[in-house]
Amino acid sequence: MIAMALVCEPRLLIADEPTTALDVTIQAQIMDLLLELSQKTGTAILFITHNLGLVAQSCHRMVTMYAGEVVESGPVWDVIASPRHPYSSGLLHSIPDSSRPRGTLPSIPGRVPSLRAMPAGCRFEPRCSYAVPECSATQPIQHIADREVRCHRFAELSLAGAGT
Amino acid sequence: MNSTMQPVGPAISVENLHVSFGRKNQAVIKAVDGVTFAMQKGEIFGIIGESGSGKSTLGRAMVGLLRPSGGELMHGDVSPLALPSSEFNRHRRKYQIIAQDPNAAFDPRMTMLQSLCEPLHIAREGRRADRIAKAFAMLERVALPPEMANRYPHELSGGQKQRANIARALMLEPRVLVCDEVVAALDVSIQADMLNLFARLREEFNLTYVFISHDLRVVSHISDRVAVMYFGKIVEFGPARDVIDRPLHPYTEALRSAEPEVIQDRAKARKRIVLQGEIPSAVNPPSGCRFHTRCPRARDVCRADEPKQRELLPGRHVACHFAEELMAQAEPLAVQPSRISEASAGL
Ligand SMILES: Nc1ncnc2c1ncn2[C@@H]1O[C@H](COP(=O)(O)OP(=O)(O)O)[C@@H](O)[C@H]1O
Ligand code: SF4
Ligand code: SF4
Ligand SMILES: [Mg+2]
Repeated sequence: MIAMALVCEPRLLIADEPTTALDVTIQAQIMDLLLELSQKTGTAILFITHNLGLVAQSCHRMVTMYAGEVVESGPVWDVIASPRHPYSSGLLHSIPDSSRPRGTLPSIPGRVPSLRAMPAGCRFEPRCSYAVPECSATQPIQHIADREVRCHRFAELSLAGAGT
Repeated sequence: MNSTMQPVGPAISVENLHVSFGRKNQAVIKAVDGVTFAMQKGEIFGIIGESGSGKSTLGRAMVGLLRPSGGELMHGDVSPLALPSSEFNRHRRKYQIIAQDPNAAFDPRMTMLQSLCEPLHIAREGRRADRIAKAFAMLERVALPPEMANRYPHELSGGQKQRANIARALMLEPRVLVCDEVVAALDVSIQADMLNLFARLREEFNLTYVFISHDLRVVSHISDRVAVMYFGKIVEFGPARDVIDRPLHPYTEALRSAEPEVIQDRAKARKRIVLQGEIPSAVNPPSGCRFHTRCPRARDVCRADEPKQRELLPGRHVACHFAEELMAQAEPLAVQPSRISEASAGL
């Protein structure tokens, strides 16, 4: 299937969860193939996944989406090491790792709101442990150098990234 | 080892267990080919390996769902396969499997309440009112709201369905739960919730788990000990974190190195070993060490002789001719930096 997508040397390849449910060994082979293509032919790859390790390992930039909106974007390792949106931080923080004590894993309470019951302000507000009354206002995306974040508290929060 | 582990002997032990598939005039597939270990009561025993390595078959054989073609299976001091069939069926209820796909576990025409009560109904256990009360109690234990009882499977999210699946397995009050890739399809945050739930239920119900997964992170987080399977055999087993952090078998080493890393320093220090190909045809296992067709460390002897399993460090068992060498090396095998590491070096 991937070979098929590659015959016409596309400018953009959208890879939607291309390795989900595959063994790590096969996943590594497929990722090598995709990255080789991108380097040889200059094809840009939009890589959609919930595997944060794969994003870290293969992508230049990443975008975190929540409930239909971009909530954060930036160079991959910057976002992974020091996320600025509480949702990115929550995801990164819930990855099990052998360097972390066994015991309870942090997780994000609640679930993604349904389209019918979308909060009017910050869409993450009902699940966010940093929420304050101002969060019920619409959150515009803010640009800070090469990063973007949709949270008015980004400057005052110091959020945990991967491995912390 | 976890402090809650009860020092009271094995929950399940297998000795030289074999499970084969294949009908008349067909090639025989040796899905499990001579496996020996004992898991303790209260322990979480992880099994990892690529698909096709025999993990599910071993899990199913361990609870008596599949009849082994050879070897010994013990549940504590009971030999389940020697029980008369009526007694075996009663015994089997205490050894439950939860599989990856919760959709397969639920009849789409049944409400959650009906599905939960079904195993007890089939076992003719308790009165109807008691079964219903128990179903609601189990929903609560897996943190599902009571209104879920009247929902149909398609009305639940993936995570909710997997919780209901666990509730259903708990209805029969099992001693042992085999969890086969139960968190594979879930998002990280929901996966974290599920792993926390499994840990809590172990305490509450005094459970022993077999935790099958191809995700090394998940297994090393939840398990006390882990067995690494390749082609029907256990190639390495020992305390989970030791095995994952410092593999003593080239196959474990390769699995570990293919696992994407989220911590930048470790990602940079990482030497990737990309295994070529997949597990060879199950009908025709390679000679000698079965891993030799893909092993970056293979030498001539590996094609000829099958390596013996040895205890290299206390509690750490490895089957590789060169395990001592691997252990002595401070650094893992130096491999050509892969294309991925080159590509990301410039980031
Ligand atoms: N019911 C079956 N009939 C025939 N072959 C089977 C059956 N179940 C599993 N196998 C084979 O046994 C081997 C091990 O399979 P399995 O236990 O499912 O591995 P894993 O769970 O590690 O992916 C594979 O080669 C598979 O094709
Ligand atoms: S705007 Fe408020 S609720 Fe939304 S992510 Fe930021 S702190 Fe949390
Ligand atoms: S015995 Fe040889 S082929 Fe097998 S794992 Fe060890 S080095 Fe590799
Ligand atoms: Mg399986």
